[in-house]
Amino acid sequence: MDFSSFFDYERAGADSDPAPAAIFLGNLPEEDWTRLLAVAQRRKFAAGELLLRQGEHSRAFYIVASGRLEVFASGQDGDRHIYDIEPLSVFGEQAFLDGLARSASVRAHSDGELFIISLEAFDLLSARYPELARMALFDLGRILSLRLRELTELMLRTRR
Amino acid sequence: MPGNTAPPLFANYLQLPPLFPQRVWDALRVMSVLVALATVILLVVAPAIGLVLFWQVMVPALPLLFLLAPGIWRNICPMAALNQLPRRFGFTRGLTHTTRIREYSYTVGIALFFIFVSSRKWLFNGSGPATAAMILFGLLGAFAGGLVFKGKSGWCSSICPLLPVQRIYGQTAALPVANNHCQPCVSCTRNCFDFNPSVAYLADQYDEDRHYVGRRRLFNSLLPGFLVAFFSIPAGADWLTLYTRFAVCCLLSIGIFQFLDAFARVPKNRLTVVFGALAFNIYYWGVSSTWLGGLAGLTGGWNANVAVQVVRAGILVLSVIWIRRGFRVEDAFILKAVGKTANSSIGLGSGAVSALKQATAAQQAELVILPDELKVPAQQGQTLLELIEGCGGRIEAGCRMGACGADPVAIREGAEGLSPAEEDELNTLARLGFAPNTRMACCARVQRGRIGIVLTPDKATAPPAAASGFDRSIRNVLIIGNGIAGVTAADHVRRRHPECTLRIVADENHALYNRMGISRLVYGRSAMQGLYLMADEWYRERNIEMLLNTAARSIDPSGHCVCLADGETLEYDRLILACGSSGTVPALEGWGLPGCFVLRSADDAMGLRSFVQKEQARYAVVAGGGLLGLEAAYALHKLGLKVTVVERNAWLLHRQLDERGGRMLQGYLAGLGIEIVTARESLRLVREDGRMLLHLRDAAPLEADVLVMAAGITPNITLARAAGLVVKRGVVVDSAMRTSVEGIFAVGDMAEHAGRIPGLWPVAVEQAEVAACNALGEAREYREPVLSTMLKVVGADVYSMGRFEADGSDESLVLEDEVAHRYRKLVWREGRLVGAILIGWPDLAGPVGGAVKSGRDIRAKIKELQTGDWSVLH
Repeated sequence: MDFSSFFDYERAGADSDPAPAAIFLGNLPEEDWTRLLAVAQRRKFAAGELLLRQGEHSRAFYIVASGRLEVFASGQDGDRHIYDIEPLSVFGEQAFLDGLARSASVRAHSDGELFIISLEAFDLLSARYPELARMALFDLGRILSLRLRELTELMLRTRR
Repeated sequence: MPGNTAPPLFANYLQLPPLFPQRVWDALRVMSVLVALATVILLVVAPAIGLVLFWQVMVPALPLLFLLAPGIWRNICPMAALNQLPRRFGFTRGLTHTTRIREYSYTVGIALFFIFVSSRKWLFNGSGPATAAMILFGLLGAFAGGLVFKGKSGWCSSICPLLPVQRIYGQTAALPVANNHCQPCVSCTRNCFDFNPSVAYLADQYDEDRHYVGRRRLFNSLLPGFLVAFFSIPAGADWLTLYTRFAVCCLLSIGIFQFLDAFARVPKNRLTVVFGALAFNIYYWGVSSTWLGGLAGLTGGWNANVAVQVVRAGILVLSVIWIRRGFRVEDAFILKAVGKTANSSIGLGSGAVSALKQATAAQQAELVILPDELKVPAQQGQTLLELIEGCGGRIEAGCRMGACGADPVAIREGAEGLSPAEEDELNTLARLGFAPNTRMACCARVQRGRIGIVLTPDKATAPPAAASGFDRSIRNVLIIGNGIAGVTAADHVRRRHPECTLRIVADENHALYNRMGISRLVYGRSAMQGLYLMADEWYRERNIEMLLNTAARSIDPSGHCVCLADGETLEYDRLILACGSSGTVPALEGWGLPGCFVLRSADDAMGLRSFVQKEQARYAVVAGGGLLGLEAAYALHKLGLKVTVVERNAWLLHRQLDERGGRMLQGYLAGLGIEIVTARESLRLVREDGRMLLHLRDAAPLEADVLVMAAGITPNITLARAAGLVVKRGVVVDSAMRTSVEGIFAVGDMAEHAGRIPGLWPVAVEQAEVAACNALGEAREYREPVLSTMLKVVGADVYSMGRFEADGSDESLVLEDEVAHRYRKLVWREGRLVGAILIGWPDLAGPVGGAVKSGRDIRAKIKELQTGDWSVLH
């Protein structure tokens, strides 16, 4: 369990939460990012817009260029906030990988813009730049694995 | 978040809003130091008043303050004020703790706490000077610590005897107050309470170092027992009794804590919170009478007994609230600390920042999909279809060339910002008969401005103008076949002849559907939904009678009638044959085993999908690397099978691409995971050990749970041949689409014109219109359109138009970009374009297609074209 971010004495006073621990393609050079974005579809969103609905089938993941969004899930006791999506981040990778229904909804908090990478776009990427696609996939897998580890730990910690 | 002033749940001190300005805090500190010094003097000068004031009035207020707003005390504590003086005025040595000090300073604080509190019984409670000395010890100790160590590590965050109590009671402050001392933070201690008050205690509990955790939990577990002893030991007890009582009570308390800890399956801090609340209540239960008595004694004249009960009850209620809050905060802490990545968004590498900036900078136009106002920035030349598909919009697609009519959309604004409609698209729009604002999404290319669209086309408001001067002697028009050829023929007959009886007979059990979209039936779940090109009303409005699922058995040309398989006989004045074609099945030994398919109709596609699912097929072989074969291969690949394409010729799409282009495409498909075998012939299919194997000439056999044959088409001419029409490969027709028999026309895949059967959708459309005109007496001659084809495999972006190999006096230009997998070629004769190949250039498909179709003269532009600037073709 790592709570060093609560005592990040260096970054004290920064107005947002600590930088996310999981970074997608942290070392990828700019030209590869350009190639990745070239297969993606750009779209804008407006504050309040519902971009993903829990339960829908849409096989894509998203790269947020600007704007803030919120992930929330509806359960028996109403909507539950899961986390906020900051600009310059990735979301939606779960349904992209497993093809199942969306496990949560995503709503925009502000106007912004994102890039959609559908399964077909990813296919295209992997045919054009197999190495890049391999890295992207591997990294998504790594991040999911990181999350799975945490959930396992969470299960142990809460002992429920 | 801009505009949102609420600090985050686990805010550090710089994220908390300041409670008071600096000057107010300074004044309060000066006052508190003065009060402390005054108390010291009072304790010496007038011990009776001093002792009551200090022990019975001041001290009992502190735990309550720690619980409600510990930050206030941390800021105004006189010891802290003195501790921070050297730093404030720059005369501290600012040393860092040694390892040993870091490890045991907290333990020293706990020890001091026990020593002072237990000694109250026999020393401090009764002695003004001793208490004064104790206070001075605290003040001077804090000051000395500040002289030596950096930050607050000399006293406040290390050996201060009040710190362990503050950390327990202050773990969830009702009023969080920002630390005002440390500017800036010098990272002096671990899990600093002044840095992040709401996490500090939890972080202690969850620390990796079990000794570190153990000492903190030890103090927490014995505190209730210690307090019980403190209040239950009678005044004047001898030392042995005194310390035995303290020890026994503490051990009992620790024992209970350990017992509960061993059995309660709860998160770590639950028990410590409960023990903290227990200690808090024991303290106020015990202290309230002397506290309020002391207060009443000093202020005089009120009954303390009622107040005591009120205070005890109040403390109990407060504790319940505090426990609840503690539990909740711990849950949130676990989620945040453990599930840090599970509960926060995934960031991007730094390379993304500039790439995103660049990618979002370019915007030449904007597509707005109504009514959701979904805004899609667009580049010049992108089709509406690719933009809509890219962002997950619900749209069908078929030929992607404007011919099939699968993707009509209504343009609500900015229509002038789209490329104008060309012939194929106009024909399709005329057939579909929607409102004039309709465009085919695959053809309309964005050029500029804001373009607002709706994904469902608007209905036409004005009915099509009624034709005049039609031949009333023609009363019965019969069409056999409901593919695009038959239905287009029907449409054109009706446009020109509003009165005749118009029937379509077809053995297919579907109304006209998007044949070019059937691969979706293989990999998708939506079955026929969305594949029908025209709604039932379309047929009703045009008064076209559909007899589906009905085969025509024979034609009687002399009797002008057709005999149906169900026995009925239909008369006709004009007969248009549009029976289409079937997938060719070459003689292959073993063909017909379960798992053998052709992919020609919707039923073929659905049958293939259901076979794959039922038999859990894993390996697929597609025989034939033509357009249909590759599309079938892609569909099976998307369905999840391991696909191999076997092509007899040396390269793929040999009717559409030259060798170089075919090889490039092969590389691309291999990248997608589709295996390609070229220049090999299929020999036979055998079943061995429950597996099906396709044997090839000069190559290892391929495992094939399914085998899809895509070896071209065979026109359906049985009916026509039996009726005595002249047939070769297809039914022979002239330029008016007339067959050898008067009154009978043939169009589409079954018709052979000038020795050719192209088997393409636009050809069928053109022939159907010509046949309809001629059938009704209007002379019209068929001219073969410039043929263009496109491979509908994602990202392949293969277009081929007209003559793609230069021969004779043709000239050609080839540009290749191997890194980006792009290839383009122009072929011209006497300066006029006659053909082109584009691979990886979807944006050029429109302009190049237009230039080839119109036979553009490019002589003046050769130089630009050679340097790669093909925008001159726009």
